[in-house]
This record gives sequence, structure tokens and C-alpha cells, in this order.
Amino acid sequence: MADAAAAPAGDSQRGGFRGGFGDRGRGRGRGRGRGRGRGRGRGAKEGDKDWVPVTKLGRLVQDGKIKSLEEIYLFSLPIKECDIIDTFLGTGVLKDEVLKIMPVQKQTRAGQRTRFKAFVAVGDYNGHVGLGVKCSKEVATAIRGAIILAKLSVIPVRRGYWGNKIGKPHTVPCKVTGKCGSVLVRLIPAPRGTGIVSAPVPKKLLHMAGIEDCYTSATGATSTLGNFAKATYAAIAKTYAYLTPDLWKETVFTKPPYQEFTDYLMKNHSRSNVQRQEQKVY
Amino acid sequence: MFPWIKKAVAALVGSLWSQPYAVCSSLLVARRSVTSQEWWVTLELAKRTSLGVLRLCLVVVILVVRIWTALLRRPLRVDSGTDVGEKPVLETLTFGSKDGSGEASPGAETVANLPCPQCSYVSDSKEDILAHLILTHKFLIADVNFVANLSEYLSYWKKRLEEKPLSEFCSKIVTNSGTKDEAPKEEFYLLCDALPEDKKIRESLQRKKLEAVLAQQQKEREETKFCRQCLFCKQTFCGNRAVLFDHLLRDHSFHMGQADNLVFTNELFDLIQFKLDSQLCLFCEKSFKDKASLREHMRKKQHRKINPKNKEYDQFYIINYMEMGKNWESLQSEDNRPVSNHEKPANEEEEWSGWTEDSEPRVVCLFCDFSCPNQSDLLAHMKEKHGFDLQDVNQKLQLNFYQKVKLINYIRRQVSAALSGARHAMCANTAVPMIRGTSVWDQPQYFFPTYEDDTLLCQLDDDDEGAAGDALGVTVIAEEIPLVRDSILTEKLCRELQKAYPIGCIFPSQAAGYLKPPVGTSAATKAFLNDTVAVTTLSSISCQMFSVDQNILSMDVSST
Repeated sequence: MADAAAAPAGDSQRGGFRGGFGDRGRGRGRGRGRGRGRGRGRGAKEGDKDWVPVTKLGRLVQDGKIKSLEEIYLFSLPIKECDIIDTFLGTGVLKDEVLKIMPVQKQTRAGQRTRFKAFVAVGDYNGHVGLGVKCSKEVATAIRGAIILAKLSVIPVRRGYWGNKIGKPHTVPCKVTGKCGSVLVRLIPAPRGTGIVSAPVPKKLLHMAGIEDCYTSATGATSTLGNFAKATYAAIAKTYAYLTPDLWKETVFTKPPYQEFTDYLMKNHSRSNVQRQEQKVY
Repeated sequence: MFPWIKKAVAALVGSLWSQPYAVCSSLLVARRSVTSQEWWVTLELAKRTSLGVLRLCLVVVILVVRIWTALLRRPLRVDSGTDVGEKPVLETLTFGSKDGSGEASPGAETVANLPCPQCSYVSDSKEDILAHLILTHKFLIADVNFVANLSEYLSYWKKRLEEKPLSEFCSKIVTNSGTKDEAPKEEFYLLCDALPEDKKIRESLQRKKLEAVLAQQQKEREETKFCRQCLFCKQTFCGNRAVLFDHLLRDHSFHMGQADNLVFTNELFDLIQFKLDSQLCLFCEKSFKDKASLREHMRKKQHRKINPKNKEYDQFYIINYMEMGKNWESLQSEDNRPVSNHEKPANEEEEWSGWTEDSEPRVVCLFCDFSCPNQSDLLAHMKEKHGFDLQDVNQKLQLNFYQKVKLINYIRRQVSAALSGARHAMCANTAVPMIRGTSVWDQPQYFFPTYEDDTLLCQLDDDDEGAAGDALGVTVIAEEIPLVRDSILTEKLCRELQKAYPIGCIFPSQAAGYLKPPVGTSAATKAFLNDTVAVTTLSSISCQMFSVDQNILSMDVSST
């Protein structure tokens, strides 16, 4: 995969690495994570150029045919590569925050196996937010995996104005509800300056989404914070699902990207090329 | 404040002979937030006074007022128009937040206060208490080094041994039991984790320690006041510890592992710094004469890592806290295959559950300091103790969500004012008749929560009165959806026009048939569009969409 391809390339760039790679197994848990090269700001010598897209959407994004993330959202195309999100919401724009690391245990032949589960939220504080969970033997690997999953789950957030339409939107456009497990979270519009009136976990999420003022009302077992976070995320996702009166006018339909660029894809990235190469290897 | 005053005085002195405008502008420079009213008043008065003395007096007066407000650091009171004599100070209050448990200490666990389980001997050192146990009580603890928290472990067993006799828990070891042994037989009691209860307590101690360590790591991860000089060069790095790790990795190729796998990073850096200062190579641990030769050695031999075999570094890596007794070497060689043949597919429900918080947020009573975890208990308490039935009031007055919020904020504000000794006291007896007059509390200032962490506001019942629009009760306007793509019609039109009418031509008003001016264009513009329409620009036709109505498109008329 892209990761494995990046690692050996990364090796040659760092001169001091070679000796250390021999006893990679004894890298006291850090060698494994380190070899990947990618990570939160670490090994940042690889950049965008190393991304080899594997999906059609990825290829279109890399070639600049798709101008914004909103075009992808318009057609509800599934995003399977986190580099797509990185292209639109660049490196400094999307901030990530680790909500919790917790140890989980599992029964194996060798006894109990403990792993770390990382809960991560990403957001650009201006209309996009995502949540991810990942379990792994090392904390760093879990966090990195959770960040990737969080980026894949980034959604747009619709905001609104209270009262009059001056300045920037700051609150939710209507009352929205989200549910996960037994937790039900309701977001209610608030006037400017109220701040986010809620428990700490949804407060972080709402802040990352770019919502400045909001009342919340939560019912159910809110002590299960995983479900609480997911329910808030579901409620935030509903803001664009709500049909407000200004959306009542007729839609003007546009061509979806796959249809529009089908010739381009055929010309530049045809599957037959790939297949021929695969046969060669075989 | 002081540089401001200096500036203002300088402006004053320099301006005795100058225009009033200059005076005001220099005041503006000195203090940025001159309100528009003051500005206007100053200007007008300054314009009207022709005498320099009067000007001077005016400026002095303004300065005095500013200094007074700055000194007292009080915002100018806004006339709220309430009937309360004293105007409320609108700062946010908080309930006392529970501060987290103390920082976990690295390395050696707290060895103070080690009680003996069988007698009342208490010791401070581990070896001492173990020696006492063996010699005095013939009591052995198996794998004592693997116990996460020895003092808790011993206290737990002390309690248990008071209830039941020793033989229930410990297995007996008899030494010198062979027929040929001449020394007398000795019986030793062994406490090991073959006993399930012992295993449980050990595991729970381990888990607690792991959680403490993870909490410490989370704190370190979020810390923004980290400031340290690099180990190898002279640069200092401030902010988050990740910055220093990045620098070490990228610029010095020094591999310590991912920052997210480490804990107690300050102590780790101190330790490494100490080793470098005593001229020891970090990897092979040979000593050198001076720093230069050490640096040469590390560079030549690529010893830019820390010694994996050195157990001193184990305490800094989280992987070693996972399970008792196992460090990273053994964990890597473990057989991790699951017990059963097929592993349960990890469904999403399972992934998100599991993160539970032990301490529930507590709701605080409106009138006293009583707090409890859930809302229904609190309502019962208020009804009983203070004679105030919140639900009843909500129902009788048919309050919508926003009014409920305002009511609670109002009551809290009054109660806190009463507590701080203001004239206007509020208790439940006066509350109910006061609340009947809705105009008292139905003010916009009570939208803002009185207490920052008021959990009661987060648990208000919100029946489905209305989600949006008029049913909501207030005006909330949704933001416009960003227009992502031009309609295919526009692009087609653009292409056709570009083909048919090359740059520089005026295209005929037939094209105007395609165009409908957007809503709100003046009659003059409409007329203009009908007649001549746009001249194509030197660069290209710019097709700009007005986002008001997607159906209507219009060409950019203005470009020159």
C-alpha cells in the first residue's frame, strides 16, 4: 500500500537510519511505529507527491478536476482515501484532538491481550468535523489510525444566524437531534454570545465544527461518552439534512464528477494499463 | 497602561497649538477603543472651542475619565432598565470544578506508608517491609516486583487478613522436609496469584496504574507551556513537546520513538541530558573524554538512539505498563491469536462503547449547595426543601425552551447576588410570586448562562414544540449553501459564446434572451442589459453566478 511504499523511500533519505533498521524488532516498540514515516508531523519529508490514488475519486482530486470538498458532498460520493481530505483541508487547517485513550483487553492463547483504543476528533473550526476510533497495540499507532478514520468521516456543518443576518453564522440553523445507543442529543439555536452550553465532550466537538453558540439537551446514559460523542456527531450531520424554506426552490441538477470526467479517466487512468502490469508481475 | 499614558501626555503637550483633530487622533492611537460617541463629542466640542485653553480642558477631562476607568478596570455600566436598584455585574461564574488527581510520579512508586498485613508495623522502604515479613511472619509475596502499587496491595490484604485466617489465602511451603535434612522444618506462607482473589487485586492495581499513566500522557499531550532547549543544538522549542520531538527526528535523526508512545517526557529528557553531560554514549554507554569526541562517536557509529537493553528507559514507554511483568520484548514475541477459532467481527457498536466516565456530572440546586447526579432527584429536593416545583412552574406558565433557560438563569443570578450580599435577595418564598411577572425574567440578558458549567441547563426537557421557522419562536436564519458548480447550462453557454463571439466583440442582444437579470437589479440596469449587454473583456468572458437564485444566471456586466 502507499504506506509500505513510503517507508523504504523514507529510509534512504534519512542517513542515520540504516544501521538502526537491522534491529528493528528490538526497537522497543518505537521501531515499528517509526518505520511508517507518516504521522502527526513526523517524517514530514514525504508530502503530497507521494500519494498514489487508488480510487477514481482520488485520481480526479489529485488532478485538480474537483475544485472543492462540497462537490463531493453534493453527490454523496463515499470518500475512501484520507489524502482527498488533506488536499482540500490542508495541513494546518484541519486540527485533531485526542479525546481519550483507553486500554481494552481481549482473551488470547497467551492470556490477556491489552490494546489501546484511541478516540480522536478532527475539525477545522469552520464547518467540517469528523470522529474516529482505532484500536492498536501501541498508543501512537492507535492515534494515527484514528486520525485517518476521523478524516474519512468528515462532514459539512450547516450553521445559521440568530435574529439578523450580520457577521458570520454562529449557531445551528434549527433544532436537530442525534441518537447513538441510548443517548439522545438535541442541539438548539442560541443567540450570539451564549457560548456552547453542554457537557465537555460535545462541547469540544461543537467547537471544532465551528458552532459558537448552542444549547444542548441530552437524555439517556450520557456517562457512555463514546455514544455521547457519536450522538452529537449525528446531530451535527443532520444540520444539512434539514429542509429549510430557502431550499424549497427547484434544484438545478448538475453532472456528477464520474459522468463529467469519464473521458478524462478513460484516457489517463485506464484499467487496461494496470492489468497489463499486473500480468507482468505474475 | 503606562506606555499609553506616556503617549497621551506627549500627544497633549504636542497638541497645545495643533488642531483638535490631531489631538483626537493621537488619543486614538494611544488607546484604541474610543467609542464613536466620544469621538464625535470630542470633535464637535473641539471644533467649537476656539480658545486653546478650552481645548486643553476638554482633552484633560477626557484623559481623566479614561485613566479612571482603566484604573478601576470596570466596564462602563450599561443601563439595563430593570427595576433593581443595583445593576448586575455580568461576569460568568462557575461551580467549583473538581481538579484531577495528582500527577503520577515516574519511576519509583510511592513507597511511603507500607503497612504490614499481620501486625501494626509500618515501614517506608520496600526492602524493609519485605525483610520484616519474612523474618517475623515467615510471609512471602510471590512476584512482588510486579505488583503495581505495593502499599495499596498491602493495605488491602491487611483488611482481608483481619477477617479470615492466613491459611485461607496462602499456601504453605515447608522447607527442610526431606528425611536427610538436619535443620528444623520451617513453614513459610506464600501469597501468590494462583489465588483468584489475589490475581484480581493485582490486575485492578495494574489497570489503575495504566490509567493514571495514560491520564498523565494526555496532560502532556495537551500541554502548551513546554519549553526546552534541544539536546544537541542550541535551539529552544516552546509550545508542545511534539515540536521538540519533530526537530530531533528531522534535524538530528535522533530516534526515541513516537511521542505518543512516551510518558513523563520531561524526566526522560532530563535523564538523556544527564547522560550526555557526563559524556556517556546513549546507545553503547561507553564514556568519552569530552563532548566533541562523544559527538564524533555518535555520528560515526550512528548511535543516535537510546540503548534498548537498558531497563532505566522502560518506565518512559507506555507499552511497558500494559501488563504486569511483561515488557516490550516479551509482548512482541507473544502469541496473539485468539482463543476461539473465529474472531468476532468488530461491529461499530462495539467499537464506540466502552468509554465510560466514572464521575457523573452533577446538577446543583438552584437555591442551596446541594448537588446530585440526576435531574429528577434534584427536582424532588427542591420541592421538598425549598417548596419550589420547577416542573409545575414550567407547565403552568407554558414555557417554551428558551423561557425555561431564562428562568433558570434568572434565579441563579438572583441567588448568587443574594449570596454576595446584594440588596436583592432571592429565596424560594419570594421566587414564585416574582416569577408570575414574566417580564422580570424574560429578558434577553438571561439567555446567557449564569454559571459556565451549569449542568441543569443541559438536561432541560425539550418537547417537540417546533424545530425551525415560526414554530421555533425566534428567528433563526440558516446560512446559504455554497454554490459548488455552475449549472451545465452556464458552461455550455459560455463555451458557445466564446466560440461564436471572439474577444472584443459586443454580442447582440439576442444573447440577452438567455439572461434574466437577478431579482433586485434596478430598472436602469435592466434596460442596459436589454440593449447593449456586456462587452467581452480582454481576458475572457466571466460567467459569474449570483447565488440568490440558482435558476437565474447573469453575466458579469462590470468587468472592464
